Amino acid sequence: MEIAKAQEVVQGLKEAGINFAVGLPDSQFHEVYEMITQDPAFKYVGVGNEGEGAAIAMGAWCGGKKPALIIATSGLLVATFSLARLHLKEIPLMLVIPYRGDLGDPRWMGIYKKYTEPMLNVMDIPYRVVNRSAEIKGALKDCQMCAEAWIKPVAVLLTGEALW
Amino acid sequence: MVKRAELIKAFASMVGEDTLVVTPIGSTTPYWEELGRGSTSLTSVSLGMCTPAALGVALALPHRRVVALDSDGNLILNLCSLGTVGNQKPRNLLIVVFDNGNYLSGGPGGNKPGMPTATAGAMNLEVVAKGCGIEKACTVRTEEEFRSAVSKYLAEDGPAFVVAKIEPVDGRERKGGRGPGAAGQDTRENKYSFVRHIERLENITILKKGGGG
Repeated sequence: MEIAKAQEVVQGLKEAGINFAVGLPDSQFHEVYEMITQDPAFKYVGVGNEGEGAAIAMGAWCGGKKPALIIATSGLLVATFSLARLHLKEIPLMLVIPYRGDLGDPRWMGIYKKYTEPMLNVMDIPYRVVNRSAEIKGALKDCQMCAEAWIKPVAVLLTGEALW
Repeated sequence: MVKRAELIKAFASMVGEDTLVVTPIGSTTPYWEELGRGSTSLTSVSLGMCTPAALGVALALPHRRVVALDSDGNLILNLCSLGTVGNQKPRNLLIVVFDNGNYLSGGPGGNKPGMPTATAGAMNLEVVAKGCGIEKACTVRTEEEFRSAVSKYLAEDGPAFVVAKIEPVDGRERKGGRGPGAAGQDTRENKYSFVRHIERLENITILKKGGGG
């Protein structure tokens, strides 16, 4: 990811009030993870799978943090059980996902185009697809606001010019 | 062999409500609730999520003692969480695993155990924890050993890890859910009461006024 776009993501998370980030990296988001781990505004926890990550984020929210789960599209599929349980407890959590497999992704990741948005819909996780880097910060702010107001997980998917 | 209920009762006598406790699904939660401690704890945390949820609480509130009362089948589902604990090294986290060596919640009920977990075979959770960097780890088999290990670790910096080998079955019927008059809370009610408890303890606001309204 271009540094300027990664900076938009990290600055957007800060402006949205996120102070606790849990992640398992996607290659296209490597720069975002590097910046977050070096930024004292965040406590970053790297995890072994995304279901574990969702549970850590839940605990952190209960303790007063504003968490974000920053994962790959494959990780969304791994995290579905934990996210379903977060739904049951009604825990606000922002998911930030580089939308691999969307049209424009140069690698073969069609499986994620097939499953990502249907999975979010089935799980009743509202989401916004962001195509332009100028819209990253606004989307993060809007989605975190709604996660807190609706007390549920909400997702931001980055694709197109915002990601590539 | 010692029973789960006896150790949970012993544990309740060792910690006050200023210690934040996270319990998994299965019989640990109802036993904990019956001691009147459910509403100030995060309870019925589902498969593989108990230790990670406790880690999240511990990292959010590093000055506050946090204990996960996990179980073998539950922990094994997300065993990588021990690696995360070992790397984060939260000084305020104690993980207790009630290890009965079987999937009791998925079992037939009554006095019959469920299908075996990996700890009934070759897996040694104490060694796994140590291999993940949780140096303070031990295995106990009696209530006396349990009390000794837990009181020691509660007085020291963590992370710490206690495997408590317990009876394969709890000796009472748990199938069929909670009937009228049961001590437990609905899972959303529990979230609110746990977070309100933290708000009182920490004198902070977590729940937004009017959220979800």
